[in-house]
Amino acid sequence: MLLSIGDRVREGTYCVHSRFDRAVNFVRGGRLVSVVSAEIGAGPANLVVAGSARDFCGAAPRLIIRRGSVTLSDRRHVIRRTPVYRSDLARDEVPGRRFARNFKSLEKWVPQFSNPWNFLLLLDPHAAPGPDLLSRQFARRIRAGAKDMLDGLNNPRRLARGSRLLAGCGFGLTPGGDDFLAGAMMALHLAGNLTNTDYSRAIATIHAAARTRHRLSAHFLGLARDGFVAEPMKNLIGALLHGSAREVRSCGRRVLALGETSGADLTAGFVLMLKSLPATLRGRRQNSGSRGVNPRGASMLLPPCRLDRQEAEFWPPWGEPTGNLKTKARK
Amino acid sequence: MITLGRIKKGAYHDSVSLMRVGKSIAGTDGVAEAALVMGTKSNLGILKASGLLISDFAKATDTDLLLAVKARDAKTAEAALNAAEAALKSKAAAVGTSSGETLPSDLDGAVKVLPGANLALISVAGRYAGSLAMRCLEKGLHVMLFSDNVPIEKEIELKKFAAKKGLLVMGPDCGTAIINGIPLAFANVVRRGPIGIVAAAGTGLQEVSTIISNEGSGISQAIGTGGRDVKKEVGGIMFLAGLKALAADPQTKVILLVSKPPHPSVLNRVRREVRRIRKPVVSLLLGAEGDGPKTLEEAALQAVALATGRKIEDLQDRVGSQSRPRRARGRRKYVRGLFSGGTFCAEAQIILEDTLGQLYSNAPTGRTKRLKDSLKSQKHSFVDLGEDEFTVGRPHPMIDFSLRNKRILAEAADPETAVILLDVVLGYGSNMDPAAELAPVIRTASRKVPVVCSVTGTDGDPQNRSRVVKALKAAGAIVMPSNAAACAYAGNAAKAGGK
Repeated sequence: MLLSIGDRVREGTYCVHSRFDRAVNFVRGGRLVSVVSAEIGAGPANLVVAGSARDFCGAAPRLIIRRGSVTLSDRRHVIRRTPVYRSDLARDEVPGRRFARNFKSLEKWVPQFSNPWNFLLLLDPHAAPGPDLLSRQFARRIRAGAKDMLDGLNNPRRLARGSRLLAGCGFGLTPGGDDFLAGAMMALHLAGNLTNTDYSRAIATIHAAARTRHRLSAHFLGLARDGFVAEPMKNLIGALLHGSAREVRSCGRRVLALGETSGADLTAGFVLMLKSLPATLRGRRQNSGSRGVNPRGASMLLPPCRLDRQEAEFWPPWGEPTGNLKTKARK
Repeated sequence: MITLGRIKKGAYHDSVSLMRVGKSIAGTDGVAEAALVMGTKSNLGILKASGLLISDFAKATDTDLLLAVKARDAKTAEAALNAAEAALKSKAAAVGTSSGETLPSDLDGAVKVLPGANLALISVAGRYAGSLAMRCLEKGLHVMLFSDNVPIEKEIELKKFAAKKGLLVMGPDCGTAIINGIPLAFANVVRRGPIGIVAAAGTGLQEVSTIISNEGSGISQAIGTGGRDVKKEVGGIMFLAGLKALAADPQTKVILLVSKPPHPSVLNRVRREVRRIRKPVVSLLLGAEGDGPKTLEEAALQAVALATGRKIEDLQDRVGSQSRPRRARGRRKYVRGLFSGGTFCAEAQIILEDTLGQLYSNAPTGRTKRLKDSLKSQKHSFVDLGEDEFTVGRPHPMIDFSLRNKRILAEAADPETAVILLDVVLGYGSNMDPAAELAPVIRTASRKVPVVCSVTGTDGDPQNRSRVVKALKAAGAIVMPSNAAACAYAGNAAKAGGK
């Protein structure tokens, strides 16, 4: 059964790229659609299914998305009434003390999930790299990269150098460094929305430095550049702005549970980048180079991600999303 | 030393598989370093700095998997590369569909594949597990529900329905059971015998079943119910059903009941049912008032005594066999318990609350207060690292020791820690080589404070209990025969340290 469909899913015939228990990835040129189980949750290009994604897809080599239907092998699923997940980050109120307090709590909490092979190592003052040379070199490289990137927010050359050191660095199908950079770009989008500051140049620099031929990484980095985020991250942001410390941890756990180390790497990039933007955490508005509308005018409380049939907003996946505040604001 | 490598075009694996295979290859004889990474520019840089870069890797792209090994000679390196490839293949086959094994896509398919089956083990996300369990019950199958996060209303509905049909629902959040001699989920290899167990405590069930087996007796059936079964809302429906099933089972001569603190109303119902049964019943309802055993170990030994006719005094006096506690240096006075099993954490609090006074825990039982911050110990602290707050996004601490290892070192560095108390749980599902992961940490920590632990398991377990105990002792741990004995030792050590 299909539970939800992401707003960045587009019509077409996709070929299988990789299969895991909780996610099966299909690609078409530079586009990607992931069939995922509910534990992973909704995302810009995710089809969320009940039960195991691998079982749902079976051995199907292709995924065909047409107006109103999704076909896997000979099984056709009607999606006319399937809720659509909106993945854009809406503008929000200028953050207050709650945001700063919640962020501090998140920053203090996440390092416990660090290990010698994920990027949370950068947030853990007590972390030691693994005993082998490879782990030590990995730690050295990500520390150097992160320092350059975060110190170089106002220095494009340094920002690019740091991003290049991190891009593609790490283990697994999507290297942890790419997840880290995606998290950093999401943080810049959030900070930009909250403080009405334009970080588009920094985002573009990071994205350009992270250019890769790896289709999955390229896709995720592209979505992060454009400010489209998955449900667990959107919920975490909502909890940081409006929830309690407990809710932050609860939502944080769901982000950390993404992939094998992807969630941890994404969180590391998000937290470290936000930490390097103290003005956002203080709730002050920066004026340098800002553009766009008055955030009060476009203010919208970031809604929790609702995917109930009755409440979910639906538009066909082949059409352009409506009501995207960011698009409106830039016109 | 020679470095060899291979490029696997377009191969993909998750990061944890790559890290685990890399680590295991690097640990083999004659291999100095090993790496399995995607062929990105950054990773090539890391390989170069690690001395693992070979010229062929220049041809690799971001989507290729690189295998690199530095070994004492070419033959060893080739063997390591072959082993790495074989390990990755077997991992893929284990989760893939290419092994030729039929993987049914739904319940109806599964029933067709195995028509004689009468039990379904369910492990899917909690929000879907309830309805799937109901479908299994409707098909006349007993259910073991490994999934957690099933709403309590659904649990009640399932259990009421099952009770009407004479079926068992073990769970939700049931991690251990032994049915007809087959260990299910986290369970140990134990002898078969005359003792039947009903438990609303997973690691509690493991502890009593292994002690019984190690004492020469055995288990007829071990039925888990899930911890919530003995709460007021559920009313012990399956605890009572399990008790009745064992009462009717001709192979069960003695019944052993194990539970975390039950609700008084449930306790009364259980007591009423026990009075009707003609077989001897030993019950350990942790924290409940009254006579009877106070620890898992005592309960297991009593059951063995009843089943074998041996006198309980003749059985090994495990708690009394402890040596004089080792004192930590300086004025260290607090016990720091770091548990992977929730029942062990609860048992430790119950055993030590009178001895030590005020205790703190992230999973408080009895008079224990809740820790303000689970990451930071205060005074006598008992942390259940299997609680949800620690397990989302990482394997259970019975499998992955990294979090607890870090915490052991942090507690040892705390000048107030008098003794560190641990549990090590063996069996299916648990870490396959716990000694290798714990020994270096224990060696470091035990230079500052005594590290006392118990090892739950049998020599029949894949890890082999005797071998694990020997390795932990060699690393400096004080290994006690049960969790209760380890708690008693830790309590005495802390009292001695506080003086």
